[in-house]
Amino acid sequence: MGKKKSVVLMILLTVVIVALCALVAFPAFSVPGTVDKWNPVVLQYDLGADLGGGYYAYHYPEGVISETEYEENVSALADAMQSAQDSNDTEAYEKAKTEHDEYVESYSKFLGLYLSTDPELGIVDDEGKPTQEYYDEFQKTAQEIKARYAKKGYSDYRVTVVDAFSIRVELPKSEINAGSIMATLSLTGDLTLQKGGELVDELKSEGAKASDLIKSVSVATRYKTAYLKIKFTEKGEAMIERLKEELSEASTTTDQSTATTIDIKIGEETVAQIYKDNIMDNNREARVLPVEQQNKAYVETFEILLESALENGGFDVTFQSLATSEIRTFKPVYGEKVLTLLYIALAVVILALLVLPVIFMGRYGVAGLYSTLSYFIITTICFAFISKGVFEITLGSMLIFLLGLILVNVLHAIVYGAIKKEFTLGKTVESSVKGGYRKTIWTIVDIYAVLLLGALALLVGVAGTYTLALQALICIVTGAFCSLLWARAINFVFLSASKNKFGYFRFVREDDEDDE
Amino acid sequence: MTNNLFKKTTNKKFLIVVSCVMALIVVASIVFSFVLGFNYAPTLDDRTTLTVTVDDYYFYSNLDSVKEVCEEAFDGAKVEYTYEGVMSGESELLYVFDKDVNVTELEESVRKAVETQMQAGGKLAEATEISVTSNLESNEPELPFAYGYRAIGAVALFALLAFVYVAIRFKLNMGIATAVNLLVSAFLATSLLLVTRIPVTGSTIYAIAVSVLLSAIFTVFTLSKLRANLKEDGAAEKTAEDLVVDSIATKEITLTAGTLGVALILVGAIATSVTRWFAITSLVCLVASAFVSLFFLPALYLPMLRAELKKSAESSKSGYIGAKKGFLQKKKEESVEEKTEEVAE
Repeated sequence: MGKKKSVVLMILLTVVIVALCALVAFPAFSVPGTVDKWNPVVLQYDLGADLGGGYYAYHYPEGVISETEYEENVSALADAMQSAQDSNDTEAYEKAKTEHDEYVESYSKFLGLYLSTDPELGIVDDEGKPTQEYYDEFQKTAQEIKARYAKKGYSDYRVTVVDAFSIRVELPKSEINAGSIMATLSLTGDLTLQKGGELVDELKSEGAKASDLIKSVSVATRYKTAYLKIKFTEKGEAMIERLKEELSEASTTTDQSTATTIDIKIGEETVAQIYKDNIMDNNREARVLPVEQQNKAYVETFEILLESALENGGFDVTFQSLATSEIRTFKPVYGEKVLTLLYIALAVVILALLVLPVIFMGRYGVAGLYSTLSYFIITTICFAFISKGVFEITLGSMLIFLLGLILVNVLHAIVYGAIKKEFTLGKTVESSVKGGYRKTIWTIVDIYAVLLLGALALLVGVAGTYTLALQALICIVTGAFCSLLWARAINFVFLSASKNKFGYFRFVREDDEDDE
Repeated sequence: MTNNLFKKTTNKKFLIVVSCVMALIVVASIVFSFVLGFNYAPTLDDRTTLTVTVDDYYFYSNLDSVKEVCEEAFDGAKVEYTYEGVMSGESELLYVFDKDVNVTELEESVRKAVETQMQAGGKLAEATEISVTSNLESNEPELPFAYGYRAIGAVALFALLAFVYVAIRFKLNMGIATAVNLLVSAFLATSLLLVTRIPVTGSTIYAIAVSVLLSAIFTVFTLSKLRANLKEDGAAEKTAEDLVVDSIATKEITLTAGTLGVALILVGAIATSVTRWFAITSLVCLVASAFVSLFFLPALYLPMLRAELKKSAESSKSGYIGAKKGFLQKKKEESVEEKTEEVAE
């Protein structure tokens, strides 16, 4: 390559890398004269709860309330008593007092909760203590809810049992459907199929269950639409065949009481509705809950719920419905500075990895600097956009990013060492470069090949480990590209543009030394 | 040469000692875990919590005052971390304590402090209502165990895949050494974390997984060098011990481990406590990987190489040169004999 061409390429490369670095890391600012705000790539990650905060909410079973709610209710009833007393309305006072006393008697305190004393619910015994049966049933239900969240595949989430009879669920901030997910995954009633508010005939007989009619539930994608595919058993197909005709009639009638759908319900909650048009493949399956492909995760939540209900049936413990207003948002629990300080630490490390090669390897180190920056740009962009909605950035992401970055630099140094060794044998610079690259290429290929296998094997892991595997794949592929192709190409361009090829590598011929 | 230092660490005695020490660490970690349980970080362990619920407006405008009053009432009880849970209508401060903290006493103390400060002239005089409740959160970390089982499966699969790759690309015995090295590295890192009682968090598995990847890098560095050394002209004159010792990728391993170590120390020093513990965990895993690759792998591979060299020496002594080569040589000899006969005729 000619020197002029090399210089032009060098300038172009520099401009592109500087522009991309700005895109990736230039600090956020408000664009003057507009309401827009500039946000660099590194501030657009889906962060784990430790780094970015998230959402949490409490699930209370029917008949269990929090101490705060109990106190608020008692206080309201006491206020009503007081106001009746103040207005000398004896009748109203007696009524309010009865209500107050009944309310107080209807609950028994247990740790930070109040448990209903209603014998029908069977939560507490005659002495007001929780019964062992209810405790066991609650634990079983809580385990199933935990398992549902585990299947959701978050890198970062938490499901804890609070005071033995309530559940606290915590999700990272990146989960924009947190409310819907928390509400859906806490449904624990029986799975039923209903038409017009009545159970289908096939489920009316004793011992009949939804799994007799539904074979499987899965998420499928077609024409950029994700939907829930419900496959029926033979009995289910016969049911659909029978009901389809009724639905057909219903759709043409103006009678509002006539149903147009078969409702899939968990407890009292309608999870999905099967219209006549949703029935496909000769009554073998129904396709419900269609959403845009990018919202596939929404349908997956229902898949998890229905699978769990099919497999385990309903639980005796059901939870109160969760209002959106009851979901708390929270900032990182270890302080908002966690991310800033982590970025500062990483910036120091990256800066050191940019400067040190230049100090030790001269202009060959500058080629390494470009390679390091390229790795930084590619991985940060991939972490932010390729993976968006798939995984969160955690401390594991930071570690695997660092490993990849350091490996690119170490391999660059190893190639330099090999070139230098060739040069000391008396070869020309060009020949040394070729020899150095030739002698190290298979070691580098082997390292990245083994790492690639490692990342693929880690895909076996769940949640955080699976996420780490995906991020490792990004880092390894980028690292391999930088070490095997990109760094060599940059070095080739820079070396072609260099007047003093010895100086480029900081090489000194022994006879030159003697001259000096 | 730096590698000469490793001459003492590649013999059979050293291998036995190192294996015993590592086995002891593994056993100690199992015993510790059974007797004392895992040292879970507060985020994974059971914990007590104290919730202070405040109306939304007051929460936004006087959060610092509420915090101040509560934290004074804690009287030295260590808050592990705090959630500032914001919702519509009312918001809350959720203080998280160790499971052994008597949170009922704290609740009483905070209630009194809040009531006092809500009176005229107090720090919270303008607050309409502040409620204080305490709870016990039971984490029962079955889920990290589920992760753990899958992660162990992933490491085992990696060892198998690495074995296949290295056995094909390098040699069968090198494949075995790689697989053993990866597994030992993972075991040692995990055991060291358990023995040192470093708090186990959800991120601990990441550090162990990355340490196994790191171990794979170190192994390939050494095996690549060894393969190159075995192909060198003078290799036949060298002993198995010299070949192995000369092939330990000391520079490469030290450079990689050193740079990553310094980076982790920097991250740990600059960042906050949650990151600091992760940096320490990663450092321990890094040390385990480097140790296993520098000391255990060469000592493990040396007997394998000796056996291989011995076998090849025996086969060359017996004159056996392989079926295919033997067949070709026989053909060549026959044709030479035929030609000689023709010439003689």
